[in-house]
Amino acid sequence: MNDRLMEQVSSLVDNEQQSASGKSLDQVLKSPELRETWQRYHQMGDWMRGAADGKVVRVDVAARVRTALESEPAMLIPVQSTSESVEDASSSGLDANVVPGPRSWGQMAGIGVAAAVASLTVLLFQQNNFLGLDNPSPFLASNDATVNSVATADSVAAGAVAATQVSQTGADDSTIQSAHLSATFQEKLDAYLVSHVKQSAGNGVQGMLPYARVVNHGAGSSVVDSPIGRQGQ
Amino acid sequence: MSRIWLALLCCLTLFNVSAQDQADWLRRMEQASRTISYRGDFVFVRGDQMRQMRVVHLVDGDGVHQRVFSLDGPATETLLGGGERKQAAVGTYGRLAESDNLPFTTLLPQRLQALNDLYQISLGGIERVAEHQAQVINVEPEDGYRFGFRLWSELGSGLLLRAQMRDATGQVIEQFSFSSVDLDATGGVVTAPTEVVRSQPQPQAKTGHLTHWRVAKIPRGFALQSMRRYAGQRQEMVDHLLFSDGLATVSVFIEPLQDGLELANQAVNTGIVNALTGTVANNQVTVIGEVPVATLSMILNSLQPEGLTASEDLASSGASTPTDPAESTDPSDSAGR
Repeated sequence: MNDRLMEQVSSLVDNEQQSASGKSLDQVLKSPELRETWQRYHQMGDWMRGAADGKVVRVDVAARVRTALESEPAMLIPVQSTSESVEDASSSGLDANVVPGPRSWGQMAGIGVAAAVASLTVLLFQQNNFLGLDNPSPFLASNDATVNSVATADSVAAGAVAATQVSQTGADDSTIQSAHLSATFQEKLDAYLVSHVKQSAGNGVQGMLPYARVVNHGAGSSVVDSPIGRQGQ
Repeated sequence: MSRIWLALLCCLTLFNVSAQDQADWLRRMEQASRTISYRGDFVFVRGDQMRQMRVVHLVDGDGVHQRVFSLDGPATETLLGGGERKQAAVGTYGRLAESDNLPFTTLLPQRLQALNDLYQISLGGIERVAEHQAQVINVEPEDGYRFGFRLWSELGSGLLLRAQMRDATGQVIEQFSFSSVDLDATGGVVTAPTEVVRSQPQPQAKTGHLTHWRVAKIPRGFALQSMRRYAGQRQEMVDHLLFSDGLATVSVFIEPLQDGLELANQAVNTGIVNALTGTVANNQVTVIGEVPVATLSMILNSLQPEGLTASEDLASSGASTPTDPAESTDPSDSAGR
């Protein structure tokens, strides 16, 4: 499908082209492919709005997102199977996915969609933990906006990881286990952050920022299962 | 023809003078942080969160003593100091940072020249911050593996009065700015006002097998700055490797896997400081730094053990020699030994 048309559909869904909606909508209605894309984007939007309102939405998000990813091969660079495990993603060399630099507009659009998909999966992860635990870790109690920003950054940094993230969020056991580990993780992270600041703050160019980070560490922090990380070899 | 050469020469000269000016401003900022006593209030903003904070920064014969604490929200603080003062420099606040000597490792002076290959550094105008005139310095990264900065350096002393850290799109993701600052703070109290509770210093490892670690692939300009081994909270041995490009820093923490304490692949964002975890050769690895996730991911995914040696004490043997990033085209330069 024409990338430009896909971008237009995405913009229409986001109400970014209201002024030109008549002509663009006609184009969407004439094309079965674009109609399907239009419907898919709206379904994703509906789910996200439901999650943001705190509603429990029982839908097969993993399958829906997987469908979206399969329809957008350009957003995965390089192309990886959506059913690959985390180990596969790590061993296949994520470095190839994170090389920065100028990108074509088409690639940028693809990454943008991937970022939105990743945000969706992270929201589900967070929702599951709130449902599954009486006392969720402070890390998991952060607001949605912060979690969204994490997922977006991850996705832009390594566009191909969204698919494996989906497979993790679909498993209740893994999400609950991760939440239990978070207390340990936070404890270790506190110590690590202090050590990091102690060793790195000496250049003086960042001024108060490193120390303020330590003082404010934990407020607004968020954690997600991440296939960007690395599993054992 | 000679006029063309003359013009070229003039251009080169002007370029060098300009680059020197920019480097001088960064050097002045670094020196000011080590040599000037000051106190002031500043605002720290991260995302939609804002905290008002106060810093007391004293320099005397014993070194640098600094206390940074919050003026609103949960009472938290960080204290860093040297000499005798550190004995009383820890308060009973919610979060307790360590009180070991402030390690002014002065990374920057070694890297000023190399920074020009990694960042576009330019001088902006003169602006007023906290009733002081400040030179604006723009530091924009050449690639996506580091964040950019906009800095306001006080004209007289060079002290950094305001700093913004920006992502690749130029959006400010974290910043601080003094609202008031006293640059002649020759006296004052760094100590916390209430009960004194000392944090436990991290013991250094004396024995044990030391794994040599190698980072096979690392973003351009980053080089190993230091490495040390210490005992963690559960007495586990933790290796800490520190990489820096002169401005941005990345820490790699490596410790043996423990039953039930394995941290699955996780990503954490605390604003600008990101962290990734993973396991490598039966070790738990956490990579943390004020850099994009792509940088952490590259380092984490290329970390390799290089074998074992008998009973080496890394802490006492000293850190490996930092590598000039301008020469570190070979990934082996990033090996930790």
